[in-house]
Amino acid sequence: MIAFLLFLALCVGGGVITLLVRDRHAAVVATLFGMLAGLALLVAAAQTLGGDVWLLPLWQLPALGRLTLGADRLSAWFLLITALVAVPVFLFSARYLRHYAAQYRTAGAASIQLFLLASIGLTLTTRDVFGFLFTWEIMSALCYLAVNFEHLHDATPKAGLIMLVASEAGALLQLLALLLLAAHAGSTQFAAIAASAASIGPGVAWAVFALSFFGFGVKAGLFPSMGWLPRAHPVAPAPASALLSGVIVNLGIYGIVRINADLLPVAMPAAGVIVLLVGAFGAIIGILYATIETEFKRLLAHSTIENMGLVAMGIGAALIFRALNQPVFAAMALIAALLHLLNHSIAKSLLFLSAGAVDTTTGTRDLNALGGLIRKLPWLAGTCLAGCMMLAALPPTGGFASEWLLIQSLLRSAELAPVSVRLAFVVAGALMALTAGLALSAFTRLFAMAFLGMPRSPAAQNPTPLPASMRWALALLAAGCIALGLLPTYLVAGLGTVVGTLGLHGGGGALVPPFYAPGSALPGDFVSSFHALGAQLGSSFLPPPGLVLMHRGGTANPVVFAAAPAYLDLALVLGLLLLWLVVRVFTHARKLARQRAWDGGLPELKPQLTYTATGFGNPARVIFSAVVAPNAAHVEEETVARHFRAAIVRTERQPYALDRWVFGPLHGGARHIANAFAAMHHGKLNGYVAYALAALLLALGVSFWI
Amino acid sequence: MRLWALRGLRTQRDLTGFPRTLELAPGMTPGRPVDGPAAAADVCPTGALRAEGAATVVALDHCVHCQRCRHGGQPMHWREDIAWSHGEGAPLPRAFAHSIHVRVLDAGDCGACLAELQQLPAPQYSLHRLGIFITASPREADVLLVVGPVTRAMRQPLLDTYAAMPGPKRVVAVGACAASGGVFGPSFACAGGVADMLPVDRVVPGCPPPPLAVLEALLAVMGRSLPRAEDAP
Amino acid sequence: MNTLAELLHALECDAAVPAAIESGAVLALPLPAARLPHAAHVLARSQAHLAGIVCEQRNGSFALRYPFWLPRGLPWLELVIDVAPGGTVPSISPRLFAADWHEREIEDLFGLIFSNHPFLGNFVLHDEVWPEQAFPMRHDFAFTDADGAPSPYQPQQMLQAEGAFLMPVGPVYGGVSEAGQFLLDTLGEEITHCQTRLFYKYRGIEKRAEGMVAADALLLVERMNGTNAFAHALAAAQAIERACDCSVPARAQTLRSFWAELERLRSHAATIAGLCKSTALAVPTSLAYQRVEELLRLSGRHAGHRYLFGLIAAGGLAFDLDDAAARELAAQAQAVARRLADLAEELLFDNSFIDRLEEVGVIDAKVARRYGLVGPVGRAAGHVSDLRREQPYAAYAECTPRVAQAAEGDNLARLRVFLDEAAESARLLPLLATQLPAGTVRGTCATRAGAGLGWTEAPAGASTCFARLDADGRIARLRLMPPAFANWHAYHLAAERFAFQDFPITLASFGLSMAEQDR
Ligand code: SF4
Ligand code: SF4
Repeated sequence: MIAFLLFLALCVGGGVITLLVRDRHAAVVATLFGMLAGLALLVAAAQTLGGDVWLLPLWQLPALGRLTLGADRLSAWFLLITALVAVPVFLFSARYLRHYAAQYRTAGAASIQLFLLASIGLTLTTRDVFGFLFTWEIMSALCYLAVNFEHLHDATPKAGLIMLVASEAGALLQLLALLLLAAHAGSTQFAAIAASAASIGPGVAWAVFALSFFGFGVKAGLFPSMGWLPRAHPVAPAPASALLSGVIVNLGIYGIVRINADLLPVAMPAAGVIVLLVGAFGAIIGILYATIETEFKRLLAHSTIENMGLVAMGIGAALIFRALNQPVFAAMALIAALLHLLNHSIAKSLLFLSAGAVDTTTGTRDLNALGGLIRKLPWLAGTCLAGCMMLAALPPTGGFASEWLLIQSLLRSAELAPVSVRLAFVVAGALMALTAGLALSAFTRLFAMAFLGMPRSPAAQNPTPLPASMRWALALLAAGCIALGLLPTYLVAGLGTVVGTLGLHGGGGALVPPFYAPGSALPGDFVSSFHALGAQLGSSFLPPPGLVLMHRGGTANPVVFAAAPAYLDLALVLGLLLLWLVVRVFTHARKLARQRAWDGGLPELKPQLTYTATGFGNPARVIFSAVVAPNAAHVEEETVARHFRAAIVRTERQPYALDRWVFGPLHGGARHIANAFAAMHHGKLNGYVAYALAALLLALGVSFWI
Repeated sequence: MRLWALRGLRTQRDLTGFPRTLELAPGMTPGRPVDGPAAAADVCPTGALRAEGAATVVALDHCVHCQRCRHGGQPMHWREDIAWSHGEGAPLPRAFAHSIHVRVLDAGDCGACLAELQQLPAPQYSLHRLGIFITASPREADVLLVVGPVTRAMRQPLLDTYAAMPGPKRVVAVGACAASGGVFGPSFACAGGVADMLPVDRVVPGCPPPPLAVLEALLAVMGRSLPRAEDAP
Repeated sequence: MNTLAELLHALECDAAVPAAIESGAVLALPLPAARLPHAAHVLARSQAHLAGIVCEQRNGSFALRYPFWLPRGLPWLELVIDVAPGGTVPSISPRLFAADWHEREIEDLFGLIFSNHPFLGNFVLHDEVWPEQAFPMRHDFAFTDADGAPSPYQPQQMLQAEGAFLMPVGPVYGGVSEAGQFLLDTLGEEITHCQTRLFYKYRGIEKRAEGMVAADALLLVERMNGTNAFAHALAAAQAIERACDCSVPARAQTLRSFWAELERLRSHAATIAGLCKSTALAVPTSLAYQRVEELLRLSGRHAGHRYLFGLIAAGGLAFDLDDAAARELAAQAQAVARRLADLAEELLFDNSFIDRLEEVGVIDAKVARRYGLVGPVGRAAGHVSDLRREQPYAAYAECTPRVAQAAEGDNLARLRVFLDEAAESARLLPLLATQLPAGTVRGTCATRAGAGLGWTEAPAGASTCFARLDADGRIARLRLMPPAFANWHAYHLAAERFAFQDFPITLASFGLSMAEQDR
């Protein structure tokens, strides 16, 4: 508690001091305070996770009830994520904000970031309805200011406004949900609300669920209200973007979990199905756009939508399992979701800071204009690669463990009875698998187009060097990505206690069983069969729990799934080393000859002769054109002397899928359907691939039914 | 959906006996003029025939198979064989004896040389059975097979392709054009064959050389034992 | 405009209409250069078909000839203009688009400027290889002129769009492929525009032929496109024969048709084999190449050469084929053709094969006409013209082929036309073999100065040749206007709007030779 109060003091005090010092020093001062505050928050979160749960009743307000602060383990988990993101972000912004100095007052941006951090901390720790809504509004307003910092830029005010409007609409729904709860409980205190939850009628329960889920869904960037994310991100300064995607969206998830899993645990499986499917659609739409987007930050924003969708799927699965009396499965799903949230926050803030770094060194974030940066900025390329691998769910990063756990927990749906629910899981599972595949392609593309190949513009040819402080900030986060890949067993065990506070017990133990404990419930011969694989390695000297992540089922089927991310990483490193050695041994006598890349005998390979980001993403655009490219491009041919084509100018307007589907005009639908059927047989291979996929999905669904 | 594999299996075998024997089907090769008693050397358009005392000798690299010395009053003696490639280059190391990858490079051929190379995978010759594969990337090629006299625009691509190949590598010049410029070169637009710019390890004269002549040269570059003239029926 | 008189009237030509005009005559129409665009405009709207442009240097000035062929029963027309030294020529391409590449070629090789032509230079002589001021076809060109400094490499992008790029294919690509380059303007996956960059194989045949005796020049023409050697050499032989009044014996005429049809059969079989190969169907590919090999061996056995080199001679043929051998050859070729047709039948029942061809690589009739497409490619797009029928030569006046055609203009239509034509050639072979007149195969030629036009329907389409001989019987100018020239010009249109993976199939379905284009 003391650490948390220190955190608040550092943020607020730092924010004020930043405004007072000379503008030149503001960024550095804010960085100092911000990092200290982050460290304080880290300590506070760690203490709470370790068991120091505290409650601090504050003033009684007339008519609005008592203001209460407090942190339980759920809050602490979110605070932990916030702290881990905040430290490197502030380190990064010291130098980053400098390039605004000519046009703007950097002290503004710096102090806003500090105040924002404080408001986030408060939002996560208020324990009463009024305090929560109040801090939420402050947080939203500061968020708007942080995004809107570059207000002289054309696109910025509009994007900021859209974000504010969306956020306020969400806040209104949240307000209603919380008021319903408070009215029923007759108190604004969370504790009182939770205590009275059991007696809430189904109608009110549904209303609270719908209002809170779709209300908080706005901030979390969930389907269908995620349109503000890709607009707001590109215009915000990089540190603000990192906070936005690394922390702010998490608050939406926090709200959903707090209300629907803690204050009023959802008892309707259908509600969980809604969350699951909303998450799935958000994930697939997000990743589809990420696969074709060519602006670095907007691509990342779409990927945020994807990952929030994945997290929502985990939450949805947890709600369903819980409603259908499978608390262990529910705990597992929620653990996976919360672990993924952490992984995503680290990787995404890393990538947003990388985008800022690319922007400062080259002056552009257009992937079509970048390329070849790995030769001039190997540091940046290395750290960015770690982030990309994390979001593509590749070992040795943490993304692999959490996404694998998510998929595994979805597969537990096989144990459920209702067919309709299982069907929903099938659809969600297929979409998730597709999402994972597309994520791999999207982040391969991001990395390849920014860092590999030839520089496609003069700016990318001569990037300026990256300041050391920025490099360190990136390195911190990249190290985090790797560490998260090595440590998931410890985190899962910790998360077991976090979800335990929500009444979902046994998840941590089911996933990380006391494998070698003398009294282990696992059959002895089964345990010993793992010895051959070396699974017991480290059990004698490493702190428990062990390095194996597995789900312990019943006695009939003692292990449902198992993986050892740490071993996997070790094997990966050893394998690569071995490969290098073998190659070395076989080729040590050979002379290495370097020739230019084989280009088919061109006189010279020019940048315009190599793939662009648009080109790389185009197969996805063609296959999924129903979602991402509905409008036929406008093609104009310029001819001279009647027959001679001089140029083909192609412009396209591409409205965001949801603006079209949900917020766009509803008329004309019938005509579209007719046209769609006519266009089915267009003779393009890519289209047929998409049909095959759809058919597969359908067949999967039907076979499941039967 | 057709069962093409089945259809293929049902097809009658039509494979040459080469390289076990030198038996040739009619029309497999145009044959070639060979050194012999005096003949009308002046009919030759490329100077491939030269009178040397009482004999007429053939510089096969220059022969463009115009058939003039085959018909007419004093014809040359023609031999219907295929084993006429030559070259001083050492064969590839032993490791390559069973399989090589070949990059075919067109340096301005007339189409016939390439067409004969197209026939190599045909069932009658089936070059894959000998472990020879035609590859698109020079990065994995062991042998560069060049056809055509090397035009001006293909000169640099030829050098680039050769440079892009890893060692050990060999160059085979296929056809009169690649051997000597043929009817085209040397001129302002063409070089006088590949040897003008690259070390050539083996030359396969002929305009165009039949598929088996090329196969024989490739086997020689691989260091494989070949049927001797006595094996011919 | 059906009658010649009407056409000549529209052309505003004063030339008297000769009383009896038979097919095969060439009517030269001298024009002032200024009237050329109008004449082109009129002819573009008639049934006339541009064969190419012939440029001749006469001391300092230049003479340009524009030969057009008309349908059966009408003669050839030849517009002739003179260009003073340093003068420019009005471009006819804006009115008659088929002239585009011919004009560009003449500009590159002679340095003649065509006013109103928007894209000149960097065509035959690539800028990055040849110096700016080298005009090899001029009489005063010294070979060392080619060694000047070239310009830097500058690929041009046609597509202007966010993220557009050029996908280079070649000049060294694929397995066994001719040297040429395609620069595909794309946003990825789909080809928006295709620049066909040829002349990597420019061997300067026309220049090298100058000063040669006719027989040696024919060796060169055979090797313009070795796979269609006989047809092109026949066109050149006919041009030379007209230039110096040769008599060609009747037996030679029939045998010429005979060999030409055998070559067409083999060439079409190879095109079909290439098409199978491009769709990656291994068994049909092997079976088709097996047929090609059988036909090659038939040629090798009976003509001494698998590609019929050395067979043609000015005045007839270099050597005879006896009647019995001709009949045997015809029978065997027919058997091979039947096996090819069997294969085709199976192919056309294979959905996965048809799917890759149907409605892919489409050229419509309007484009075919605008570009003046020839041969199977033109006929598959409904632009039907066949010189064997329109302007018969050799023995085709007596033995007229049925002309295959289709309207769809897609890859499948081209495949069908190739198949039908192969079958038609197989039908003609025995007919010709049984009709062989007795006699010699070699006539006599005078040694005198003169000029003449020769044409054939080569396997790929109309091939036209202009020859001028000097008083010693040596070549003063040899102009080769092969069918590839017309069809490569439009190839890019078939590739556009289709995906990368359709590209090789469309390319194979055109059955075009780069060697023939580049010369
Ligand atoms: S066949 Fe060869 S050797 Fe005989 S004349 Fe022709 S080029 Fe000369
Ligand atoms: S050697 Fe003869 S067949 Fe080969 S490319 Fe040269 S001219 Fe053509």
